[in-house]
Amino acid sequence: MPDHSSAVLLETGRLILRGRLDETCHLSDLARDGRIAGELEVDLAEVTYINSLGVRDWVSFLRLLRQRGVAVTLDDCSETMVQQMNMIPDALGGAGVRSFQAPFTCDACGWDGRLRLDAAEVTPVIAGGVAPAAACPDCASPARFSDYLDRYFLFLE
Amino acid sequence: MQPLEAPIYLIHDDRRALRSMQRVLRSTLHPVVVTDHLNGGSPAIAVVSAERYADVADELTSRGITCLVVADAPREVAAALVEQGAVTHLIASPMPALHEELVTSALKLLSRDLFGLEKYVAWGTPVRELVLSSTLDRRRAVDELQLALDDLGIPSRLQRQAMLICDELLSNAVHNAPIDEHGASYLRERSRDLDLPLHGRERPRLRWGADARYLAIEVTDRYGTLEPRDAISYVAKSRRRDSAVRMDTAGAGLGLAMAYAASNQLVINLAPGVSTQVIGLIDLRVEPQGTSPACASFHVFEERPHA
Repeated sequence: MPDHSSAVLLETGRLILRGRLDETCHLSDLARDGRIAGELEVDLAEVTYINSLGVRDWVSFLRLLRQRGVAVTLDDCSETMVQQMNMIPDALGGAGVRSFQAPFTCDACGWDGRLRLDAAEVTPVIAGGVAPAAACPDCASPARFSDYLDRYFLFLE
Repeated sequence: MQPLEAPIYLIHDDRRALRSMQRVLRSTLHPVVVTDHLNGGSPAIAVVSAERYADVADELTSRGITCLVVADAPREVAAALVEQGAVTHLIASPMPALHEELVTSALKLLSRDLFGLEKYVAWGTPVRELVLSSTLDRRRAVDELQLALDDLGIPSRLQRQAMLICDELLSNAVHNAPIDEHGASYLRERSRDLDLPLHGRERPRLRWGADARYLAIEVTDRYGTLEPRDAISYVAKSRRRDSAVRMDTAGAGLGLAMAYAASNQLVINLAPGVSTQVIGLIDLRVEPQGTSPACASFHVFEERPHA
């Protein structure tokens, strides 16, 4: 069955979100309850889906944390989160991005999947109008970035 | 002798594009007139390049001539038309989808037969259908769609796009479409996570089908309350990266914009006071790489009384 977990796991200074972010997630309640202070790292690797109500909850969550002076860093942002950050800048909400996932394809062996990229490393490459380089995890041949170069990395600007 | 059909006017500066579009449009059996301007003529419809649209827009609007704008122009021109909410029909697909979309859209306008996803998928494509009977059926419908697309081997990226289209269109149909006898939208401000039963006209219908070219997701309500100018304004929102998220209402005000952003073509069929149907089309042939298309195609078709 589809993953409905929308799990929110709060370790010290680290929040892990999984599954769907939608109207049932209520992330902004977490920002209000005072458990988060100082610095927060949010792991978004396993966010599989976000709808408009999930976007609103996420934007509200980031705004509340910002008002309370919490410095947020986003780690391993999934494709679905990257797409929303590209369409709605509020979805980045002043947070820093440490790393994110991007789709790649291997023309040699047919592998198709996502690879994690370091934001600081790829930003100058993208600024030069070049796709980031990566190796296929299956056959080690060069893997090709398989989305639109001018659209996928807008959130890094 | 067949009676002479009203012509289609074709206004485009690129000779090669003109020739291929002229050939495609002749399949409608309407005469196709290649011209530089309207000259007071009375075409059935006009097909105009995005670059030439500004030259004829005022005359088209004042005379009520429906126009299909073809966005094979520089990407900035097409994107600006969407951001300004300036057009009701924008064909932005690359070839060969451009020709498919051009002829389908022209035939819909000429025949005034607007509704149904069958116009966009191959003949005989199986179509699945689900009628929602409660507000939370929306989530069940999204789950069922995902499972079915997984069975078909549709890539996860496209599954997510399809789920988003389905989710947002159903949310609009369930919460925004219904009005009471005073015209009030009585479900608009109800929380989206409440499970409320839906009765009679309140029950929207989801249909979807996929051939080798398109995955089509269709949502139909039985109210017809969406205004064309509102539809265009929501679509325009998706192009502006300043899209504001509404915080003070039950909905986020982003649903149609997000559905458009997830589609290669968004089709809105309106029968005012009767029904609104929105079809999100995902082109299964597209492998994204290089430079992105300027924008997705969209169409707002409105039923008008026969003359």
